[in-house]
Amino acid sequence: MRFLPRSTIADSPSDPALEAALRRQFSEEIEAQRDRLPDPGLMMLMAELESGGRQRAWNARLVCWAEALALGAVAAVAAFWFPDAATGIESLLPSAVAEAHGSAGPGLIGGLFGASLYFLRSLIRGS
Amino acid sequence: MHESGTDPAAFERFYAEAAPSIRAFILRHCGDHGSVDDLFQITFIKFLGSRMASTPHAPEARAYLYRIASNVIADHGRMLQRRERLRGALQHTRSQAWQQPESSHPELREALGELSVREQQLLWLIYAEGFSHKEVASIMKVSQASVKVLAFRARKKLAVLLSEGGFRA
Repeated sequence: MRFLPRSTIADSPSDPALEAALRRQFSEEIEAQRDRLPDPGLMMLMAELESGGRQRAWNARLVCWAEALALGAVAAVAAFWFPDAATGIESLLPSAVAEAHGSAGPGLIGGLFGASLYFLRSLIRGS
Repeated sequence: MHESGTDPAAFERFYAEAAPSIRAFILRHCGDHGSVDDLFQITFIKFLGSRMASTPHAPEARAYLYRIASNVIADHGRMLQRRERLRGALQHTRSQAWQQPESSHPELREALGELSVREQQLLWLIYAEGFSHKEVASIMKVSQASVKVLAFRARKKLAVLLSEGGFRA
């Protein structure tokens, strides 16, 4: 342990004594943490749970879209086979959408049906 | 082998080496004593969710862990600032930050507390971890030349603060 005159330490910030003191200070702080650490196994378990949660959320979203697309496809096929029903639905749609339907065919109705189902389901789930 | 591709034994070795310094790093720089455990866990969970988790023995793994910790601290700091703006309680939160263990150089610890978080982090990475300027630049997302300048300024500022207090090294 040595005493550094004020002028020396202020004029020479790269003084080895200062650097050594910094290392000691940080080392003490690190050593003080050794008995406060959670178990590494617990940490791995938490990471696995977190990753599992993310995977489940992704899977649920995928299933939701797949359901909407499947229902949309069923609706499109139904609209193709039962044009009277499609015309009935067309009358319920706003005029701009109905005009587009006129040229795009039953696929549009199927798509709209599927999309509305997806958004309805998202709203119900609150996601 | 863990589900994520991490070898538990390799991770445990890495954890035993890196965890104490990461926790001390977070404790020193997060500005909120009560959140240290949460930030520590978030850091390691993010690390374990990354590709680097499968090679914790790699030389760059430790620097990568520090980069995560640094980002987690920065995010937490922004969240605290937003909260403090709402509550107007900055002083209360800051006063909780320095419940550190006993130090053989209380005046040095106090002087370090006077530096900005960025300056403290820089000194930590250089002197506690012994990272090169290149590694520090990658962790702190600044240029290598900036690290050199910032480190000099931080040491200079610290030296002035210490000389004012009659520091005994």
